[in-house]
Amino acid sequence: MDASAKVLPLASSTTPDRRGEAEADWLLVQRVQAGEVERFDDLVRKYRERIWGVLYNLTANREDAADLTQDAFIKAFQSINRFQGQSAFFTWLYRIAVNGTLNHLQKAKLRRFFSLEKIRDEEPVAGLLDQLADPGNTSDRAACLGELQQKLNEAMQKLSIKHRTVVTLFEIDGLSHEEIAEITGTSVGTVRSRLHYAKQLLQAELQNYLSA
Amino acid sequence: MIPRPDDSRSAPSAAGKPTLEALLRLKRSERPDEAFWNEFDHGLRQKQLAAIVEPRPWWLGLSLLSRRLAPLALPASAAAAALFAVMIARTEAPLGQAARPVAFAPAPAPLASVSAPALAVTQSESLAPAPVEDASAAEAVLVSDASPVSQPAVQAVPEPAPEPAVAPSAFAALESSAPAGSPALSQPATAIVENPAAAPVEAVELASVVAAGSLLDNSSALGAETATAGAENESDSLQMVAFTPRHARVLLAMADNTEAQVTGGIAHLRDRLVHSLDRDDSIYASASRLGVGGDRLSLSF
Repeated sequence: MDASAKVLPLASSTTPDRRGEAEADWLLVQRVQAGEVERFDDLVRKYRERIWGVLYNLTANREDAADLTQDAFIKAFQSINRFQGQSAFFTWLYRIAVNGTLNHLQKAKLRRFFSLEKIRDEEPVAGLLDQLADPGNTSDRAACLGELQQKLNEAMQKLSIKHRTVVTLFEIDGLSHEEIAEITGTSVGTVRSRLHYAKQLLQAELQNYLSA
Repeated sequence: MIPRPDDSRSAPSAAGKPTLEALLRLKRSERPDEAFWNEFDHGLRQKQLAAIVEPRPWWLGLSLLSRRLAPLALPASAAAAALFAVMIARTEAPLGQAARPVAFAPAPAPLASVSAPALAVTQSESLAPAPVEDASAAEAVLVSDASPVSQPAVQAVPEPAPEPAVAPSAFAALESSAPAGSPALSQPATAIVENPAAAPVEAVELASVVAAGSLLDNSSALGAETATAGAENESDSLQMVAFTPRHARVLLAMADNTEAQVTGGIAHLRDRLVHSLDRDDSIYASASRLGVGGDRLSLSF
């Protein structure tokens, strides 16, 4: 039986785009397992920004996020032969990255400091800033953006690691509850519960900037 | 500056405030530039090379091996248990075979019970023409002492000093003189005991040997009865017969006969006894180094 014809056991809520993406990843993984190790670079280029984004929002430090992302890719490369396609590659990769980051955060609880990335003033951000600041005052607009970023990261860091992980994966990275449950090794109900509780805390922290 | 709720100047209206979800989406825009990713790729390449060069910890290999062998754990354990059982059985078997004769080997026969058939052989081989006073009594001795240990060993016993033809008579006498219901001294034996002077010298000596052997081993009924008979008949003369070197040789031959019947354990015991006797010389040598002179006590090394 051709290994590439194997149907990946993805979650029922997986969109067709995500399914096609998972199958393409599986083909790349099989080529890496067959000895074409340079194909792993394709997977790195494909997922490095998403992985880094998740880890950055978990750590609030761009350098730590970069190191943890590199470590996650190296671990994935070392264990690529053990990946049997039981889940989507990106789910497997996310699990490696998130678990490594949780271990890192638990070890470095006392030495946490922010190293934030600059927010790019693009279309969605522009619309948001128009709601927060005077559209005509550009200096006020930049200051407003910096303060908002600071407040948002502080509120995120007040969450526990588990709650922060769920919020990051769902609200920022756009994963489904099932995918988050698979990555974190919990049930969908637990994911929903954590997400609800985390949103309540964030709402309380940012109530001055949010609509009721 | 983010407007405060009480800052009416820059605060947006309640309807203009963003939602939490919209605010969280703001974080998607926190993206590094291309130079960051170039540096990222360079660092990743270096880490990959370091991971290839760096030896993996030994326990990681063990964990991987154990994970691969996990499906074989149950059959391997069963096979190991079976192999262990077979090895134990094969190890125990020779020990059991060796231990069996030892375990069921009869205890060293009492001196008196061994002496009877030994002397009976003496009678059958060299004392045939001897005048048997009570043939039935002699046969009774032979039958009554049908010890499974002593009988086969009798054939291997080197014949001690030729005994006179009176010896069987003495045994028969010893048995026939016993009280009813138990083997004891016979009438002729009683006669010998009562009047040792009248009996032939060899018979008296042999009876004394038998009596002495019996007294040495109180577990022998014959010996006990002999002692009782001697006491009842006030046969002090029998008990007072001094051991001669010849008696010692007879006893030694009987002892050898007994030892030859048992397994090598007894021979080993004898060797140990001989060695312990040899050590007496060293004890004597040690004692000789001790000198007592007047009020002095000297010890030479």
